[in-house]
Amino acid sequence: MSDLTFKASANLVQAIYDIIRAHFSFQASNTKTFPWGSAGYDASMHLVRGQLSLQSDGTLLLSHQGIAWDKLLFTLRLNLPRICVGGNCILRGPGGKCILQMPQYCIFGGNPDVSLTIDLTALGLQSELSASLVPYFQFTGGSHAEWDLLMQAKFTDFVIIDLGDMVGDLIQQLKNQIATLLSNWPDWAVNLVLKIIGDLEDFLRRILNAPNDLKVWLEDLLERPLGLKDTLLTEYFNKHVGTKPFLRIPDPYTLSAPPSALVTFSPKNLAISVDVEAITVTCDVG
Amino acid sequence: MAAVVVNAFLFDQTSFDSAGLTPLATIHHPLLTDGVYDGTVIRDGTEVGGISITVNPTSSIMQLELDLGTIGKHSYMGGSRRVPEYVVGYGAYLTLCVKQDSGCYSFKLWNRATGAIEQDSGTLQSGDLFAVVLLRPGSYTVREELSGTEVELEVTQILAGDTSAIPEPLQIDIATIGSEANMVSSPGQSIVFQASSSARITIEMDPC
Repeated sequence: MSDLTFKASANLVQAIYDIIRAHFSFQASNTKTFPWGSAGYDASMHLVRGQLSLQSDGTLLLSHQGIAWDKLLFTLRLNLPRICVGGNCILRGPGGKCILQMPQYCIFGGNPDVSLTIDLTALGLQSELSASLVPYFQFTGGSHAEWDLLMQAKFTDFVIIDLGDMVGDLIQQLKNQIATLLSNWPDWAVNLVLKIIGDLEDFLRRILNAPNDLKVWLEDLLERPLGLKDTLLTEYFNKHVGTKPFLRIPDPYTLSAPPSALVTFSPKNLAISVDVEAITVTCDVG
Repeated sequence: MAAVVVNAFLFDQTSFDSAGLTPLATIHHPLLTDGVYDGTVIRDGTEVGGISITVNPTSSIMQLELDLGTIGKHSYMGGSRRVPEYVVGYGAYLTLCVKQDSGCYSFKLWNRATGAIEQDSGTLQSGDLFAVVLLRPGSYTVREELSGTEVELEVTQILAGDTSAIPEPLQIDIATIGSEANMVSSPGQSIVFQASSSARITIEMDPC
């Protein structure tokens, strides 16, 4: 039997986690260039709720850790492809082979690009974090030596639950930008350009060289190539949660024994066990 | 952000003439005799450039697109005349067009050996095609100037949200102008006039 036992109930562990969580804030931005233009985000957020439950396998499971985005602006800058009339076949030979083509007349010169910024917070973006945490002790020596009970993230995830109508918003903005490029021209000219472009979602997909589900592609772009997912997970789990002790035991540890005696000892053989009810830390008195 | 330049000539164009090419109007002329040809580009009545074309049966190039505006701009750069030279196959089409310019262009082509005129864009010849793309909705009058025959052409309105494909080219035998019912085309659709004898086509948007 161990000499000394510390026991923290699931409720207490949750309360400690809530304090740690409340002190986290996140602000980041990134831009990356691609063959079709560039993309970037500018984000800030804080965390809300979040259920930390103790597992019978000795780990802690963080689930439904809600993210409240204070700001998440997503920007796409697109190099518009040439938008042209003509270029079609006007004379066919035997077997339908084209033998004469109409010259192509392009509406925009100077390779224009358009910049589309989506405020994802306004679109009702919902996202959350989850993780599996493994408790361990870390000893820090020196004049204030101590044992810190820390949590190492074994598995982490950032999930976008709902991006809102991100694609719809992009398409509307693209339409507006094209109309702006042609702002000195009447509606028929704008309608003609939009007719040449065809379905705007297909047009966007062609520009971006994206697969069929544009929403999934944009979600993936935000998470991976732009690094929002890795940045957020690293900042929260490695640099914040992973460095905040759930329990700190000074070494040497002092117990007061009434009426006025003090018992000071150095904890030995620290051990951690987790079950669904509590985290238990035991040690021997050296 | 890159500067945006809208090719305004495309949207301004409401009249077309096979004898004076402007943006969206083209002449396609088949080169059916081997030989070397010299061409002259004329802008608003002034010679602005030249080219040389060799028709060689061994060449696989069957369409030569000449932007007369570009040839006119580059022919006399640096104070010395530059004459671009091209080689095309027998039966190749010479396509004359103006991509982006406010001028009115014509073109003449001579056989270097014989001095005979192979093509004078002022008059369409049998086998020539005059093709236009009308963008602006409205009513137009199409007139064959040598015979004085004409026909009405309606370019339909584009409804907002219409993303249907632009239709295939409308083919018109110039000889039938005046005897056919009025024509209808969509904005952006190519209209191809086929000459079976000498002709000159003008297209004019009707006043409101």
